This record gives sequence, structure tokens and C-alpha cells, in this order.
Amino acid sequence: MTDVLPPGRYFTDGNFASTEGAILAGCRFFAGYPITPSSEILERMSKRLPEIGGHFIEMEDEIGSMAAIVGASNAGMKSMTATSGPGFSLMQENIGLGMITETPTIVLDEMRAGPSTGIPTRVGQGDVMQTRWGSHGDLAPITYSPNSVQESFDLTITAFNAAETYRQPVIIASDQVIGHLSETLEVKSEDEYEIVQRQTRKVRNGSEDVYNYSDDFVPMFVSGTGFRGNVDSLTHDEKGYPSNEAYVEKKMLEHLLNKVRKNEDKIVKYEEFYLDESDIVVVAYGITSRAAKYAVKIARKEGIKAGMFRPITLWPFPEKRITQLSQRTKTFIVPEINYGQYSHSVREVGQIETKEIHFTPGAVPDYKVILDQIRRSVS
Amino acid sequence: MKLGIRMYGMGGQGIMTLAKLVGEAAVEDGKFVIMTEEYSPYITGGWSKAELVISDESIDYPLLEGLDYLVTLSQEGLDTALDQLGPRSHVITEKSLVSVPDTLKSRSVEIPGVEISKSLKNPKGANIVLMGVFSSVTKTFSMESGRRAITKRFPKYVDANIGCFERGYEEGVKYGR
Amino acid sequence: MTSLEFHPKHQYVREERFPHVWCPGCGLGILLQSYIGAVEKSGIPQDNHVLVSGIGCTARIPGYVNMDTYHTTHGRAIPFATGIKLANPDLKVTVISGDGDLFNIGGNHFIHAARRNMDLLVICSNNFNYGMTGGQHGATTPPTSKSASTPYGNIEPAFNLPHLAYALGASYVARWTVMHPRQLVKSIKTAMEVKGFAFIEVLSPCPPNFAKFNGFADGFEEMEFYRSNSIVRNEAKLDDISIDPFHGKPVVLGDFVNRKRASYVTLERELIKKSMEGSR
Repeated sequence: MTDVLPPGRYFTDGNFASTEGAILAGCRFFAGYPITPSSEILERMSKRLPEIGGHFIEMEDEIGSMAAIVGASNAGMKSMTATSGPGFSLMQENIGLGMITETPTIVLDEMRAGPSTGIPTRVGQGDVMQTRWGSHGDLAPITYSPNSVQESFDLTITAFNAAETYRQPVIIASDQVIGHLSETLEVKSEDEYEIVQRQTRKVRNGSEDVYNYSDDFVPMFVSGTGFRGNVDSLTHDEKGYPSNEAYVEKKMLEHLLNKVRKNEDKIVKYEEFYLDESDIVVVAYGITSRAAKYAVKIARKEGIKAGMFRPITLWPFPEKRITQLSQRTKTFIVPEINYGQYSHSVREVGQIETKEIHFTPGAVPDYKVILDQIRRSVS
Repeated sequence: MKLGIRMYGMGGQGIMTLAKLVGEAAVEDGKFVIMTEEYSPYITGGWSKAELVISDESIDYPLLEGLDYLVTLSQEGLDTALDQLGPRSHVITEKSLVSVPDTLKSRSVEIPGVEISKSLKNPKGANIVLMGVFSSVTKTFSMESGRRAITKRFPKYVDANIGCFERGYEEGVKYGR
Repeated sequence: MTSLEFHPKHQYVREERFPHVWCPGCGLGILLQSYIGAVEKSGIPQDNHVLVSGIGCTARIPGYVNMDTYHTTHGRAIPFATGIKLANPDLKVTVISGDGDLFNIGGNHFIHAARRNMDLLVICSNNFNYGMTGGQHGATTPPTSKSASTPYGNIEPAFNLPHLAYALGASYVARWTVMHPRQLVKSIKTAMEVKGFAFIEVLSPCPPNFAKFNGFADGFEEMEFYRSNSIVRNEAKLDDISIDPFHGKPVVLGDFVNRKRASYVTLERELIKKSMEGSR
């Protein structure tokens, strides 16, 4: 058999699709800890990776899982973990390690109701700000938000490519409903997918630095290939050596932030629906966008000029597009399965009337609530 | 066409397998299907529930907006759905486990799936009998697609399960819908 | 900068990084030398060695070693090293870190790596306190001793690290001090040949903290105290070798355990082979 899922149409769930998308993207190392609702990813990886010569290890906790995938990536393997809220909290410190050491890896966070243990089996969207600001210090994270089984597959591949291109951990913020609902998955043949392969350094000739802060991308070295480089969680210079100097912090940090900021146009992805001449724009992501789209369709039938904007990358924030939209629309409506998180960024950037809809974590949002808000916003 | 379907049973009756087979068969026929699942908090022995939307067009909203068909292998499945059943709703039940109130009889298909599957020497196949009934009653997928879905899922037990499926299909035809 | 060019082991260090950060009288220079000595004697090419550490004074050792080195987060060196080892089992991966890093914040990872018999060599420099943050007590601080956070004396019992490692299933277990450099080099070299989890505890002084708080004039005096109170017993009963020097108990040193147990990498290799055949 081939290593990847054969092309065809499947009726399957988001967790299956994420796993197979990762394998197609070249993931050959998975470390994780069981947690509802993402455990099926770990279970499928434990079966799939060994049979294609990859490595699977169930770690003692999510801290260890995150450390192990950063380690494995430094030894040259595309690596991944999957978790949910409590585990995602435990991973934050080593997500920062991946950021400062510029190590590509993937963290899939399947959001559930919180805070704390919350309701493990039920949906939430309370981690979206954590994917932006969860690890301490300044970061420029990249977060994808799938809203279907198809996107669970496709965006996992996109996320692996982004991790390699920008040399950093990339987060997939899925949710319990997307992970568990079943629908159609169309898989193309392997050669139709664009896969960014790991670029690595050749053996150092004695003078090469580990990093180059004036360049957005410098290939990384792989453990055991004779490069003899130092990889450090401390602020480090281009040689990779630790430093206490403010100017080194400035150079390193601005490089870490700019490599994403300068490339925002390439990274940012979104979907737009009925945005021509719309007075009301619903900004929704993940499972909530499915309810929002349905509500907007009904509103349009009623003659209401409503549209939908769906950020596919939550971060970097689609700042340019939201600014443009705010100049030709009157109201943003931001429904979320939380008590107002992404809405803050929409309001801050848009600077127009921004209404929040707070869905209590625990259920798929009721489209009628969004529809009602659209109707009230016109009257 | 856009149908809202609920399938309900107790742990071990194969309700999720039934729901997935129906979804797979409908997808084979080019339909759009979305399925959500829910389980009782008990690890074993509790209820399990799958809800499907089957449509000719792509589906945005994953939840049911109305209950067109209820397929249940347990009394609880019927009792908890009574207030959601509208005038156009239909019910497919396992006859030996569910008693249908007289007011619902005209819109119900009561099938002795357990008995049929035993007679076909596939005692765990009651869910597959109901899959056959569902296919002929709802016309959401063809017999051929049903057979293909079963073959994919049970490569080692193809004949026994297709036997149950075909027999269920015939039972459904008798109800003339 | 002093040139180390004529030092016999200069190719193993990053000359440009000296002088190092450690205090006068610290034992970590000896540990660094001992590790390098063992690498040289190991017969494994320099570029097949990888050195990983967590956070703390000891964790700065990799920064001075001229090979692929990883200075990770506090307590997480072992799972990081696990990732490297599994991704490339041909490498000789060593974790070198302090007692606080490996056994307080990182204790959970230690017990699981030892239980798995993960193919790693873990060297713990034990100075009985958190040196870098100013000498607070931790899980290895001996009973009744003083530290920056036990001004009235420590009321907690301390880990007996060799006993712990043995009970968890480690293939190799030893304890030495930086006053025993020859034995230490030999021990590290032997541990590098072990399949599975190898653990070496190395007692080391902390001149500005543990030494000062407990009445030693300097690091040397602290170490001389352990050395003169130590005995070498390779066959020691491990449940009886906890470190309690302030109550007259001798410090027991030795190469305690070297046993054959199936290692994680060996078993994983078999599992992968079997599952690859099965999927064809």
C-alpha cells in the first residue's frame, strides 16, 4: 500500500481527516497525550505511523509531548501533536520554545467548553485568544481555523507547509464539532498536493551561523549531520549563542515577528460570501461560520443586505481586508462560542459598530439567533 | 430533497455503524451528508444517537431543522422524540424493543430486525436489517450503494450482512412507500 | 580571549564562548571536562553525539561543547531528547542538567523515560539546591540543611536518586563526585555503551549558595567534606544510600547497576518492522 490515503470520496470525520492530511503533508513523528475530544487523532497516528516507518509515542503529559515534537523536528522530522484546552494550556511554554528556536511543528487544538476541565465532550471556541497570546513574550503566531471535514484535511497540509516556510510552530484551532462530525471528504492523488519539504543546512564549513536575522528564511540544521550548532531557549545571537544584550533581543525578536508580518499577504486566508453591497457583515469562524452562512442565506432571501466574512487564518489577523470592509459596511456581527474574544480584534481594526453574539460553550450555535441579530440590525 | 434523520439505540446495538453505513451509501450516490453523534455520559451501556442531514445540495448547518425520519432500536429513542415528531415525520423501529402508540401507527414501519437477523444466522445484524428498510423507505440511496458500503466496511462478513440488508430492503418495500 | 588551541581537547569546545559563566570553586568545569573525556574515549564520532539540557547552571554545559547542542526549557530536556533520539536512533543523545531541573520540575519526565528504558544517558549534577536562582532548597536538599528558602533547616526528606532510577528500571545507574574525575570519565564512557536508560548522579559543590549556607568556607571545602566522608561500594544496597552527610552518614559512591533490559528503541524498531510488514 502507499503511505497516504488513496484518492477518492470518503464519508468520515474531522479527526480522521486531520490525521490523514498530516501524513500526506509528511508528518512522520507524533507525540501526544490522550484528551477528549482529540484522542482519535492520537489513536489513528499510533496505527498509521509505524506502518509507514514513522514514530509515535504517547508521552506522560502534554508538556512532554510538545517538547518531544520540537526535539524530533530538530532531528529532521516533520512532527505534530493534537490536544484540547487543558492540554493546550500545558503546551504553551514549549510552543514558545518552538518559536524562539524557529522549529517547525504543528499543534492541533480541538477546542471544547472551558475554563479548566469544562465540558470535555462539548464544543467551545474559548481558545482563540490563547492561540494568539498563549505563550509568554511577543509572538507572531499562525493559526488556521477549519470549518469542515474537508478543511480539516486541506488546512492541515497548508499548516505543515506554513510551518516549514516560516520555521515556527503553527496552530490549527479546530473544535469538538468539526473533529467529530462526519461528512464528505474528497482526496486527490498525492501528486496534486503541493508539499513544502524541509530545507536543511549542509555541513558547516566552520564559519556559518545558525541564524541570519536579516533574512526571513534560513534553512535549519539537523542534529547529527556535523553542523555543530547551538539551539537555545535563551535570547540568542545569529551564532545561536545566548546573550543578555538588549540589542540582541531587539534583532532576534524583530526577525521572529517580521518574518510573519512581512508575509501576511501570503499567509492570510479567508472566505467571503455575499459581500457585495452588504450593510451587515457577519464575521464568523470554525463551526460557528456554518450557522452564520446559513443565517445569511436566509437573510438574503428576505432582502436583507447581509454578508459573511470567514477568517481561515485567525492569526495573523486579516487586518487589511477588515479595514476595507469597514469602509463600505455599517455593522459587523461577531458570533462566537465564547463570551467575546475575536470580536475585540474585529472592533479594534474595523472601528465601526461591532455587535457580539455570545453562544454559551456546549452546543452548535443556533443559526436563528444570528438571523435575529441580522434582522434587528437593519430595523 | 433535504431530510433530517435521527438514529437512536443503546450501546452495543450498532447504531453508529448503521448511521455511518447510511452516510457512506448516500455519499456513494452523490448526496451531501452531514452526521453528528452524541453519547450518554456512561462509558458503556448508555444511549447513543446519530443525526444526519441528507441533501441534494451542499449543507451549511449541521443540525436537524426537523425530524423527517426517526430510526430507533430502543423505546427511549421514541419517547424522547415524541414532541419533535411532526405530521410529516416517519418512524422506523425494531418491533421487539419498541412499542409504538396507536396515533403513530400509520406513520411507522415496525420491523422484527432481531428475529430476521437471527433467522439469517447473523444475530448481530439487526442494525443492517434496518439499514435495508431505511434504504427502500427513504430512497436516499440505492441498493447497489448500500451493498458497496457494507462490502467496504465488513470485508470479512460481506455475505451475511448483505443478506440482512437485502431482506430489510424487501421488508421496507412491503410498506409501499 | 585566551587561546585554547594547545589544549588537548580543544576540538570539543567552543573556544569563542570562554570564559564560562560558573563561579570560582564550582564543579561544573570538571563535569564538562569529564563528559568531553568520555566522548573522546567512546569511539563514537563527535558528530554522532548530541547534548541536551534544561535550565540552570549545569544546563549551560552544552553551550560550551562543540557539537549539536540544545539548551531547552526548564525541566523538559528529557522529552526533548526523546524526540531527537526517536527521530534519529543512530545518535548518542546525552542529557546533562541539574538536580532541580531533572527532579523537581522535570521529575515526571525522568520517571517515565526510565520506565520506558528510553535510550538516553542522563547525567545529573547534584549540588543540593537551585544554584542559578540563589540557592533555594529542592527535592535533593539533605535533611536539616540550610538554604535560601530553608532558613530554619530543611524538614523535607530528599530523593535517593540511584535508588529511584533503579526502581524505575534504568539499565545503568552510578553515583560519583567531581572529586572523582577518573572514575567519572570511566562511568560516563561505560554508560554511553549501554542500550536503554543510563543515569549518573554527580555530586558537585555550590560555593556561593549551598556551601555558604551550610558553613563551608568555599566549594573545595564542601567537596572535601563529601570526599572524606565517602566510600565506594559498587554492590551497595541502593535503598540504603540516601545522602545525609550532616548526621554522620557516609556518602556511598559507585557503579551500582549495569543490567540488560529491552530498550525502547530496540522494541520500537521491532514494532515498526512488524507493522510495516503487516500493512503490505
